Amino acid sequence: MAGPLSGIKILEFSQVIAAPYAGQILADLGAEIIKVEPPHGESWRLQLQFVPTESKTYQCLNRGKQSLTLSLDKHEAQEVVHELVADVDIVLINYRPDVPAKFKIDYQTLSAIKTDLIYADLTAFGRRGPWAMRPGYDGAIQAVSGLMAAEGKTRPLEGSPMVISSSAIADFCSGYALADAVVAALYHREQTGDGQIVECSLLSSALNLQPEVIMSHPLADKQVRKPLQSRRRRRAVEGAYYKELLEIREEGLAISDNYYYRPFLCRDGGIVIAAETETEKRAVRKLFKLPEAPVDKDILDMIASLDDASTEEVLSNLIKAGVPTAPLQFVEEMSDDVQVQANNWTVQMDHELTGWQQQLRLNLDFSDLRMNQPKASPTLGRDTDQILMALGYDADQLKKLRNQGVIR
Amino acid sequence: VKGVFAKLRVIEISGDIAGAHLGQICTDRGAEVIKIEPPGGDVLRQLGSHSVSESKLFQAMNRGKQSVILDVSDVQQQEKLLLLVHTADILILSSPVSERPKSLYWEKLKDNNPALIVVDITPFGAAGPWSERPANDLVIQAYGGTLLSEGKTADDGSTPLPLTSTKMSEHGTALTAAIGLGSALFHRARTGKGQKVSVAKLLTVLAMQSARVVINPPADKSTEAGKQAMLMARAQQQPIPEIKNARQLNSNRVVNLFYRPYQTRDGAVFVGALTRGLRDKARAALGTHYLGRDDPDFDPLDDAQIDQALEHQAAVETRIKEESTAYWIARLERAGVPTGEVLFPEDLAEEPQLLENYYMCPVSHEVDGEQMHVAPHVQFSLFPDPDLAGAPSLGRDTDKWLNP
Repeated sequence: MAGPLSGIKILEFSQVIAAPYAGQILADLGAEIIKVEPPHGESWRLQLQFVPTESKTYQCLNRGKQSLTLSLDKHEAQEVVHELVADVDIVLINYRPDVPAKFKIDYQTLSAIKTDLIYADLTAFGRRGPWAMRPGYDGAIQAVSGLMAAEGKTRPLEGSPMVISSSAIADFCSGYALADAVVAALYHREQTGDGQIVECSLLSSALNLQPEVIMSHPLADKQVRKPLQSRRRRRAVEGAYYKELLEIREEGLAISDNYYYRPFLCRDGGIVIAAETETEKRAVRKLFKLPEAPVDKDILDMIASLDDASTEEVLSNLIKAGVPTAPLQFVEEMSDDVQVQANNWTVQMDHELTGWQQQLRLNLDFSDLRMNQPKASPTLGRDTDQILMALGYDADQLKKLRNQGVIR
Repeated sequence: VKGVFAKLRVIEISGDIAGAHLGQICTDRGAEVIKIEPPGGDVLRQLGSHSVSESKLFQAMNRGKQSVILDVSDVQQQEKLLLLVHTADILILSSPVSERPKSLYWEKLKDNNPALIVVDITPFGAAGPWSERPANDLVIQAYGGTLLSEGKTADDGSTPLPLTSTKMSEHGTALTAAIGLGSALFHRARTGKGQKVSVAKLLTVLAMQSARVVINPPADKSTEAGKQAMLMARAQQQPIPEIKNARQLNSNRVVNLFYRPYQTRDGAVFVGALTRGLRDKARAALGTHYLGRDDPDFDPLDDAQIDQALEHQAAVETRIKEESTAYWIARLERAGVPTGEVLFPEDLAEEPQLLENYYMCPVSHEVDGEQMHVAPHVQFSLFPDPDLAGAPSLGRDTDKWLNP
């Protein structure tokens, strides 16, 4: 059996990162995925394309799928979807809450055709509430979910906040959330025969990345958090700018330098010291000959000694002392990294239009299942004809649909 | 008990956020989760604690579980643990690799319990020189490159700083592990067979930055020079600030006015125009004619053009700072530009958007009383109202399971 989801069929209506990523994970797990795209291609194909309709990021988020082009605003396209749904297990969808009903691909319509359908729905802000109809991308979610303020990056001098840029973090975690929702619902359907609608949102995923911060806890919040909130709100009313409000937050939460848990530069690179437990902290003090309660000068001496040392030597000493540590590495170095190589985390594939590429494989190993080798992402509309012919459309009908702009 | 995981018994041996979060996903869905804690209590109980053995972090990641104190390193106690594991459907294992007893390996457990699913969470994967080393989120941030990519620095301008808003490697791994667990449960429902599913935290952060790790020669042409310059500086053992300079020299210098947050008169607002159509709308709403990369003649390597971009940017910054956040949200919304206020996380528990979507839910803790938690990340229509109970006090359920 090739993957735990072999034999499962999925119809995907998606764009940009989150839902396509969920689909790719499910494809890696062995499901068969038809991705429905508008005839001009979904927006992520066109963002930073290096050849027409192909972008690197699209190719990283859509491997192993089939591509079917459909103009969903057209009646004929909706008919195709309804014919396809009769034979699929799952619909993956990310649209604003009002859109699916317009295209007749809402849960009510589709579950009437396929009664045990699992309908996995991802919105930006949820289906209700004052923000429900706003279009939302990762950055907007970072802003309203508190992640951006909590990260605390600001533009030097000017003071505006900055987005978290190392990863589109809300998007990726929503991709995981949606794929998780699908497999949990599949497990339930396998036992009971019941399908259902499962809902995720970018906002909910972002909140779940910082549960202990968002959580309100009257007892624990009394001493620090409540007074700091009042101080910040008072200054906001008095006309303080964002940067000052942020400083009030950081000061109030005593977010300060913790030399047991931070990066340090060395002569030829850098490392992190990541001691959390008392035992680990003691090991740091012993290694750097720090007193029980180090003062600023002790820390400055420690920084200076690290600055002169080689990364390799510092790392090996920290490892020997049992302190959690790692070198500071650049992400572009990771394709050649020793752990990545030893664990066979890369996978090679050929894209029919743009050739050889190397991607990262799925972050799941199953002891009793041999997984299929992933295939590259599809070219735009590659599988349209084949899918429609399997539904019984003949060449004349395809031509007609093409002329009407229903398919590409 | 209700939920898609009802009637499942889970044993959790964790000590980190990833394992605790995964265990909580299971209790949220109706599983019975028995958390094994060392005699001093789980590490998370001591991080930012507000009373002895209680912290918000622990309580936020362990609701609805049972707490059993057991020293996993003690051979006699291991016997008791094994008896419990033989009755379980799922074993979550994410404790430090060097501290895991051999008796808990899947290969040993499956003879007694062939339907058991073991979720094996490691920092660095099963192989390689780092596989048994201790790690936490900061270690993975450093090793996997997120820390340097993020580009935060201390006041000295050169010492890198870590990400602090979330522990991406932990939560991302918990979610990935949940996908593995759900798939393995589905497979078990079809075949009756359990198995081991493995997940690595390092691969999680790499996956979340995949476009920077993936190699795609035709697409990489424009960034290849920067990467080679960086690798060269690295090979010459230069200091980190020098390497960062080398890496930036040839990389994208585009000044993006249309996908970034701005300070307003009374807070901050995000402008999220990601596509050409949206950028046109944003230009109208922000009152600028600046085209940037939408101009076919735009050249990010031309200093004069960059200076011009910075002037346009300063003008927009000044303009936005003159009005309130509410003004800009209304204006951008009217124009159809994705937007949102930059909010502080401490204020969110009272935000109508969260309350109307049931993204916050009341939970009662046996000692600390009422609290509002972030709701589970999936809403199941068949189980619209999950039972959520507070986290257990340390060792509350030890006698129930070990000395019945």
